[in-house]
Amino acid sequence: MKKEIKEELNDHAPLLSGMSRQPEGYKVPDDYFARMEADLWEQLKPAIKKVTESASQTVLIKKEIQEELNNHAPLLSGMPKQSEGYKVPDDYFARMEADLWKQLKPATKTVTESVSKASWLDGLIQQISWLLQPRMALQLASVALVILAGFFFMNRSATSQQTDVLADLTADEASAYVLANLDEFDTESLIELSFGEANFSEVDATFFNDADVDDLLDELQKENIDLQTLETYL
Amino acid sequence: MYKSVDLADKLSITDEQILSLLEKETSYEQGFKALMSAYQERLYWHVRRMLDNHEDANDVIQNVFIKVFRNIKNFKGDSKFYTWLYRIATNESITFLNKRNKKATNSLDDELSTVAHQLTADTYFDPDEAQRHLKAAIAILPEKQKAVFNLRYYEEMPYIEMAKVLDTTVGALKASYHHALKKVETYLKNVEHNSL
Repeated sequence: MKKEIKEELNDHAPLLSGMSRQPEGYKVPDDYFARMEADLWEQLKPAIKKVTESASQTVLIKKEIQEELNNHAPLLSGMPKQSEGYKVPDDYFARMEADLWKQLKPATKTVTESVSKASWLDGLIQQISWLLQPRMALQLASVALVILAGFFFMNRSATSQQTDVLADLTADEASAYVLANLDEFDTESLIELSFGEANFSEVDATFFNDADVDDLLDELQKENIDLQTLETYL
Repeated sequence: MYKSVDLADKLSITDEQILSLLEKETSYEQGFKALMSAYQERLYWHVRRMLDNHEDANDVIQNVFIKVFRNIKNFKGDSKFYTWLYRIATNESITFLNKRNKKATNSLDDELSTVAHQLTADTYFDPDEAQRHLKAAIAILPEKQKAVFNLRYYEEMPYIEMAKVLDTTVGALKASYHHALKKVETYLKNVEHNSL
């Protein structure tokens, strides 16, 4: 190899061929190479420590679990954990990601569209949350959700004089009108104003359904729900 | 296997990196793929062990990931990300089991025959004799105790993390797991005794 390189240089670059390769003029700080290993070790030490601690924790947990089995369930202790007998269709996991992406991508788009269409609603919510204390806003949000859930059950579509009044107003004007006349609006009209019938069915199809409303409400009660969370669910 | 203590996994993408990718619209798809790659099999097997049947597990795991991605902005970081994921998967599985069980009658005989049916009807379940008995023993544990057993026995999760997943205390979990072990062991002993 060296001979080949030398011949190339002789043939194509005779001046370069005659030059010494050392010294090139580059320098490094004193003890650079001696310190490189130590410097790298210092940088990697936290990550290595974390990994080794984690590995020792694994060993300890495995030991603890095995002791539990030995002491309380010797028959089970002797059984292999692998080969449970479960199988999945061919390429199941490879297809799961693509299938889910198909389901989630249009939903993401719908959410974005709904947000822009209902932008005046966002303003309304912000104004309500500004007017009310956080605790009150939270309660209002919870009540609104319960009403919304009830609405899905009843599946009623309603129009009202109030919504007709709002039909020709701009978003800001509508928002101000609703705030000023909140007591005059019935639940159905507020819901319709918030979503419109088309968006309503989209939300229904993607998140709420009759069977899941109870579960959803249970879930929300357990969660530390705030207005932002509520908006996400809506 | 319990991920956060797996050496190889420690060297791959972290939960923090996944969450960071999911925060931005430009990297959302990359984050989605990273999350799926890191968790889809682990969560599927957890759900599968809870439900036994592949078709049911498939329905539930799809719901799990849909809820995860729709609510990812609400993840506040006050618990570990994988704990949050396991919590959603466990809750969805228990909810599904409750609904499935409501359809069955309450008598023990019918419950046992339902369990047996779930195990034998699944074309994607092909265990040896011992595993069939073990799965039958686990299947008759109450839903939450089944989750406790599976997280500890199969996932090898520390009690402290299980407490976050199941929203309960370490003491309660230890008691529940030991009761579960006793029930499974008794079932296996009876099978062994009857086969003699």
